[in-house]
Amino acid sequence: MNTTILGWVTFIYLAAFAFFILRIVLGRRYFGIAGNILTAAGFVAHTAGLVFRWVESYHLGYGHAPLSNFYESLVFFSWTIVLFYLFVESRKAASTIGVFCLPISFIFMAYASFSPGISSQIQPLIPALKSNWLISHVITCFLGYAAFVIASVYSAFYLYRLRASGHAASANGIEERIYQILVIGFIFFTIGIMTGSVWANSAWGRYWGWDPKETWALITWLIYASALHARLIHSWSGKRFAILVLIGLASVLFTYFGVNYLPGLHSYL
Amino acid sequence: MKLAIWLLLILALSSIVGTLIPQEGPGVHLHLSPGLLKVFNALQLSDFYHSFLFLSLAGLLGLNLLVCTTRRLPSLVRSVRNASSGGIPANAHRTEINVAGEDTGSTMLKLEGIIRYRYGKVSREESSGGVTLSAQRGRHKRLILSLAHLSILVIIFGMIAGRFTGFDAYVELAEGTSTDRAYLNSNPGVVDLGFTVRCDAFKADFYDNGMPKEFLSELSFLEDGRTVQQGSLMVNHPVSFRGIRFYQSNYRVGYDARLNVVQGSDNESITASAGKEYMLDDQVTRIRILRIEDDFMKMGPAVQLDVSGPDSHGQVWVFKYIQEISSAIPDLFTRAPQFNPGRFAPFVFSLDGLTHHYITGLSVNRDPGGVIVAAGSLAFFLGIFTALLIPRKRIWAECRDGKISITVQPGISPGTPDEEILHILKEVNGELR
Ligand code: HEM
Repeated sequence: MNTTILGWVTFIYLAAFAFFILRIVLGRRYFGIAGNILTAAGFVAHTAGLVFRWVESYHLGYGHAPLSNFYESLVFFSWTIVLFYLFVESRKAASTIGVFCLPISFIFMAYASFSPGISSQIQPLIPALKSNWLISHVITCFLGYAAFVIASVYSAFYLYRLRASGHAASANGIEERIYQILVIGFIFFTIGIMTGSVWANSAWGRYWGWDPKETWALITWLIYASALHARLIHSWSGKRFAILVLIGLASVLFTYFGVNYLPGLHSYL
Repeated sequence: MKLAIWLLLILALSSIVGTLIPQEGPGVHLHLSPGLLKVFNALQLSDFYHSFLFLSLAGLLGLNLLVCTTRRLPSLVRSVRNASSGGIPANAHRTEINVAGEDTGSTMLKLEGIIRYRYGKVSREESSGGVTLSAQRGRHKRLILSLAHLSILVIIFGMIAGRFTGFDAYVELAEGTSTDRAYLNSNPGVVDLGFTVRCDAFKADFYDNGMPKEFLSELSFLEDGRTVQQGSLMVNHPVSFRGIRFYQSNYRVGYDARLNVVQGSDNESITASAGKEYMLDDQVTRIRILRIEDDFMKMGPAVQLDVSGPDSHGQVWVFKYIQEISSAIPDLFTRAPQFNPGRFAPFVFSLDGLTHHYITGLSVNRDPGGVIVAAGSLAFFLGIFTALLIPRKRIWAECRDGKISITVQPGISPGTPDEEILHILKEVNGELR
C-alpha cells in the first residue's frame, strides 16, 4: 500500500520536472505554476505514504517511524528536499530551481522504489536502533542535508550566472539566499550531530568514536563552518563561497552514500 | 580570520585520512610491507585521531579561536553599549536625503523619533561639524557569537579531560557469575571497579523472522557482599553505579559439558566449564577443560581436556557420539590417538552432552569529561543558534554642512538596505501614518 503510493509519487515528481523544463525552454510562467502544483500534490501524497507506512508498521507489530533502513532513508531524504524546495519557493516564487531540485527528489525516489538491491519491506528494529534520540537524529540530519542540497543548487545556479554575465551584481540576491538556507541547514545539522552523539553515548557508551560515518559528518560540518566564515570575509565571498558550498555537497553525499564502502563497524544508514 | 577558514578546511581534509585507513581496534590487521609499516607507525596513521599531527592541528584551531576571540572581546563589549563604536564601516549603504520645506534641525528630530521607534535606543553625538545619531538592533549578536566560539574550547577541554581521568573497558559475565574488575579496551590492563557486579540472568529476545529484538542483562551491584543496587540493562539503556556506567554491548552462548569419568567400578559425573580445572576421584589426577565445542569437525559436541596425572600428561578430545564415529572409521584411534577416550587409562571419559548458558558482554566506562562536553555543546549550540537568528543592523543619521544623510549597515544577514532607507524616508515625509 504505502510502497504503491510512494511509487506513484516518483512519477509525479518526474512530471513536475517535465513542466519545469517546459517553463525554461518555452519561457511560459504557467508551466512553472503547473510544475509547482504537481510538486505540492506529490508532496502531499509523499507525506501520506510516509504516514501510511508508519501506521502499517504498527499493524505488523513493529511500530516504528519509517526511518530505519536504506529504503526509508532515501524516501525521507527525498521528502525533506521537496519540503525545503516548497519552503523556499513559497517565500520567493521563481520556479527557476525546480528544474534542478525535482530531478534530485525523483532520482532518490526512483532509486528507492525500483533498485533491485533495496528492500522496501517494513522490518522490525534491532535493539541498537530503538531510541528516540535516533529519530530526532535522523530527522535533523536529513533536514540539514536537504538544506545543503538546495543551497548547492542555488550555488551552481549562481556560478552559472557569474560565468554568463561576468560580474557579481546580477547574482547578488542569490548569494544572500544561499547564505540564509545554509544557516538553516547548519543549525539542523549541528543538532543532528549532537543528538547522534547522545544516541551513540547510550547505545555504545561513547559520544564520539571516530567511526567513518561520524568522521565524515564532522568533515561536512567543518566545510560548512568554513563556508559561513568565508561569507564574512569580503575577499572570500561570492565565487569561493559558492564553490565551498558545492564541495560541502560532495561531502554530504559521501557521508550519506560513500561511507558504507569504507572499513567501519556500524552502518545502519 | 582567513587563517581560521584554512584551519577548518585543513582539519576537514586531514580527517579524511583516518576514514580511509583502518583504525586500530579489535579485528583489524594490516598487511603491509615493513617499510610502509614504519611510515604508518611514524605518522601514527592507524590511530590517526590521537596522533601528534591531528592533535596539533586541532590545537592550532583552538589557539586561533582563543586568540581571535579574546582579542575581539573588549571591542565587542564596547559595541554592545555603543552602536557607533568603531566608526561607520566602509561596506555600509549611505544615502543623502532631501526633505523639502523643512529645516535640518526639525528633520533630525523627526528622524530621531523614527529611528528610536524602529531600532530602540539612539545615541547622539555632537561635534563641530554636525550631529550624528546612531542606533543598532541585535546588539548582543556578536558577543553571544564569541562566547559560543569559546565554548568550542570547553568541548575540547572536556574531551581531553575525559581521556585522562576516565577509562573505557569491557567485561564478559556468564549468567550467575560476578566480577570486580574490567579489561581496558585501548591497552592491556585491568581496572578495579571498587565493587562487585553480578549477572543474575540474561535474556535474548527475537522477532519471528529471526532478527534480534531485545537483549537484557539483570545486574546486581554488591559492596562488601551486600546487594546495593539491582537493575535491568538493555541496549540504549545504560545503568550507572558509583559513577561507572555499564552498557549492554553484545552476548554469546557459552557451553558446559556433562562429563562422565569411569575408573573401574567408580563412575564420576562432572559438569565442566571451559577454562576450569577439576580434581578426579583418585585425588591426584587433574583435568583442565581446554575447549568445549558445539559441533567439532562436524562430528557433534566435543570437549578437549588436558589431563595431568602422576605419570601421564597430555590432551584428549571427548566426543558425545564416539560410538558412531569409531564404527564409521574403524582405525580412528591409531590414526588419531588424541580422540581415544581411554587414552589415559585407567580413566575412560565420555560426554553426555552440553548445556548452554548466556555470557553477556558489557562495556564499562567512566567519563568525567562527558558532562563538560555536554555543557560546552549546549552552550555552543544555543549561542550559535541565537546569534545566527538575530539579525544585527546599524543605522546612522548625520547632519553635516546642512546636508542630511542616512547610512545603514546590513548585518551579515541584511534585508536590503535600500528598502530600509526608502521606508524611513517615507516616514519622514509623512507618507506613512
Ligand atoms: C570550530 C569551528 C567553528 C565553528 C563551527 C564556527 C562557527 C561560526 C559561525 C556559525 C559563525 C557565524 C557566521 C555568520 O554569522 O554568518 C561564526 C562567526 C565567526 N567566527 Fe567562527 N566558528 C568556528 C571557528 C572559528 C575560529 C577558529 C575562528 C578564529 C579565529 C572564528 C572566528 C569567527 C569570527 C571572527 C566570526 C564573526 C563574528 C562576527 O560576525 O562578529 N571561528 N563562526
